[in-house]
Amino acid sequence: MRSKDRENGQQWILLHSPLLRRPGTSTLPWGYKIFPELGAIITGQVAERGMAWWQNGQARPWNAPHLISPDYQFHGTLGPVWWGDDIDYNDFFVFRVNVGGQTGTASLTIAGTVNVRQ
Amino acid sequence: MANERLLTHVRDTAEAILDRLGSDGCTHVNIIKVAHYGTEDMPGADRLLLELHSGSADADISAGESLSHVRITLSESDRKNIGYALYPLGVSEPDAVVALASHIQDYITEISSGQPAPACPNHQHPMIAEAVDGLPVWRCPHDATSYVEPILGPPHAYRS
Repeated sequence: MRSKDRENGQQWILLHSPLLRRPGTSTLPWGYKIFPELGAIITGQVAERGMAWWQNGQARPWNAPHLISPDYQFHGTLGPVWWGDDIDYNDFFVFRVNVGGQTGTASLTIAGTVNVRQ
Repeated sequence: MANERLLTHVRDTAEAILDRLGSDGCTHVNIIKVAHYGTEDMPGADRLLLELHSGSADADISAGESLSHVRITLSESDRKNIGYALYPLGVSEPDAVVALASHIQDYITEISSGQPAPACPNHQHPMIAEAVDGLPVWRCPHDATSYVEPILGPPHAYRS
């Protein structure tokens, strides 16, 4: 199952199909890596706010924040979710960059929707 | 719950979870700080966000009103491997404990190179945090009837 990131076109990949734990329920593990071309201009660490998500419009607890290397495999789990759920998500990253000798601050947002269907 | 009392409650809850996970994770984890958390409080990003002139830069892509959280800053004994866990507000106490326990478990898994914590006594894989019948528990991910234990022991009674 994949979710096309509506912000920047990056593929945001669910690592597994929903894993049934009880009849009708599951979790959505997710993973995200900053693509190497962007990672190459990042200086220092990346601050991740923590994945925020909504289940059928209702706010759910965020995943944990991180302050970590740009090559980190950002990851987390959304759940429990049920078949038929509509999941909205977004995460926000801030970091310093050096582009051709010029330094600055940049941010990256990932966001999208997953419709959990059998 | 008054602010100071809330932060104390969150710290106590995190310490209770760490007491259980630390032994299985073969590591000692300290709580450095407990404070309210929002986008403007992103770890190490205060200055960066100011430079972006956007303390709520994600507001325009929000799918709706979000929850408030308390952030627990964690580290190993020599202040290396700083990590973070969140305690969500505005959800039931069991759901908040499950979320916090999952974050702390994830942190310990990373700093201990994958040591299962807490280890399922029957299979030795990590157990998962889940609210079952209104009680936050660690349980075997493969067999709900195999093993279940409360995330917080009896001395840690819930407070509203």
